[in-house]
Amino acid sequence: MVFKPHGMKAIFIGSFLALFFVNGYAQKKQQDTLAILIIDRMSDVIGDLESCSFKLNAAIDDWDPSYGLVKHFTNYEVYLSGQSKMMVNVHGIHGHRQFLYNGDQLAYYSYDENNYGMIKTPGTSIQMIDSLHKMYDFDFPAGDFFYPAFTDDLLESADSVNYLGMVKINDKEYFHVMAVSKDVNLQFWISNDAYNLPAKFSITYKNKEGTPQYVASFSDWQINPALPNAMFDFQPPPGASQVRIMAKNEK
Amino acid sequence: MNTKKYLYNSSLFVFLMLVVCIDAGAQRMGHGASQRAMGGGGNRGGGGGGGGFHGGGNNHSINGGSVKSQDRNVRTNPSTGNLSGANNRMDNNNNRPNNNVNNNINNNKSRDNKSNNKNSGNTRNSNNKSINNSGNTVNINVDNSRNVVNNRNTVVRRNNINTYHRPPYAYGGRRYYCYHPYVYHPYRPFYWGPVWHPWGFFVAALATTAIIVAVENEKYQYDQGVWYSQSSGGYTVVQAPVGGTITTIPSGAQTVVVNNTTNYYYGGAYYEKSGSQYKVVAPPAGAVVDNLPEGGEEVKIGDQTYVKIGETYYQPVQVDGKPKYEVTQVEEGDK
Repeated sequence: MVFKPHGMKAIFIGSFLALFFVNGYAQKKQQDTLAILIIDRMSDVIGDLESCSFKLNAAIDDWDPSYGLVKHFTNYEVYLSGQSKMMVNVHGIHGHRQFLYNGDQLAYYSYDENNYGMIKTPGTSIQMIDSLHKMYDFDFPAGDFFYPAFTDDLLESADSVNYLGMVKINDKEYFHVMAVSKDVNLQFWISNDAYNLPAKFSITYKNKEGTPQYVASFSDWQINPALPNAMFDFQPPPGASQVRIMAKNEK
Repeated sequence: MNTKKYLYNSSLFVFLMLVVCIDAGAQRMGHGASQRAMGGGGNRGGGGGGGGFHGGGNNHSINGGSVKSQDRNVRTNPSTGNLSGANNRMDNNNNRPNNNVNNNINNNKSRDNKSNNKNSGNTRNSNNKSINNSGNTVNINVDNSRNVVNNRNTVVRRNNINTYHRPPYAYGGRRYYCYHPYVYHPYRPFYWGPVWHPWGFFVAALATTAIIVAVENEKYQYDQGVWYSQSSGGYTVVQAPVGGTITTIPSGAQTVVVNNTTNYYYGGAYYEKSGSQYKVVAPPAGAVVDNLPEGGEEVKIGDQTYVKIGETYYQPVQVDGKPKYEVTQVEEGDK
């Protein structure tokens, strides 16, 4: 879980939302049916998964007034089971953190600080991701790919969606798809194999200072692994203190 | 699969989609389509009536199954396999989504309850007992409801933000300024000796050394760094009232220099010397103190954990290798 403002989720909700209002309703969109087909297939496969796990390695540009763009690297391990179980381990500039969702509440635990917070949010994992982004700026790593109507969401948000061709990276083939909006350029590399799962994506923030990028690569996709429910329940470690998690609009 | 085969399959798939899709033409934004499909407004599983979705309905799936809007009029102009794209266009039809996402998030505030129910002084952080606990019986009979009411000295005195050379930490439309970098250490309430009592502590009678101090037409009793307010049957410890003036402060007060002004910190209160007297002042932004009193709570603000006492946010910092807290200056706005 990125839980940083530069997550992909923030792009769709924030920038695309802005795009919607700024560009008005009448703007024509350029949508490549082949790109849409590829994205649909990826989305269909994800939608058929009953559980999965993957790793995501992200390189994130942050603007620093003193230095300009500063790049940070964050590694995620993500486990999803059914509609309402999720675990994310994050290793990045904020240390080692874990997020556990059991369908009723999200538990946040910081290994470095040995503290934890709980947020009651019953529902599905996707509903939780969506709600927590809005209320707490939490960003699930690559969360957009897991929205059930991902293709529709993309078509609504982007001015153009195009298939750029087949590319080879380290002897593997990928479909290269690009979506462009006023504020961001999104690129996806989707595996040309039996599963058509996402392999890489990048986001370029065109209107932010320094034109920062968020680039992430998937690895170690596990399809329908057996994930016991108990692994999604949080037990506070001995000595851990509970902290309150402040909402974005809390005064 | 090579590209040619894939393109052939693509065309076939698009043709099939043309057959099964109907036109509705709604354009939305963000994850509106997904949100409708997930719960509210959309029809998952079978694509029922107007504006519904195809697919989905898989209760075992990690996202309920993928869904596709029936109203993708892009299907009416399928790709011919041109790698540069078929450039199908579709109109933007102004239909904005209803946000049907379940937003019933409640912040678990069990910590607050915990802090309001204790009466032994050792229940808040059971792992924190090693801190100067010689007087750990001082906070028997603490009524922490007073903490909520009395926050007279917790609104931070601001600095000129230009004096901060470190960029602020931003979250939720606010900026949090500090001179020192964030270095987390757990909040461990401090006790300033056996005669010091935390806010909310109740005593039936005061020592003869207590003096009466009037502040804005209210009477307080002050004794050895502790401020009391008369209550039914005795006296309750309250936060030091800003403007309260005394002639002596305990010898254990910490000297804190902020912007060339010397402050004295004791028991969670800040004093400035005025002539031969000491006057209670609001926490000055940038002040670095060694310890914090009971009555605060740790709050996760984005990626950082602060201690909030009344209106004051303390950032955990490290100075000369020692854990300390800095009074944070909070500014509204992202820039």
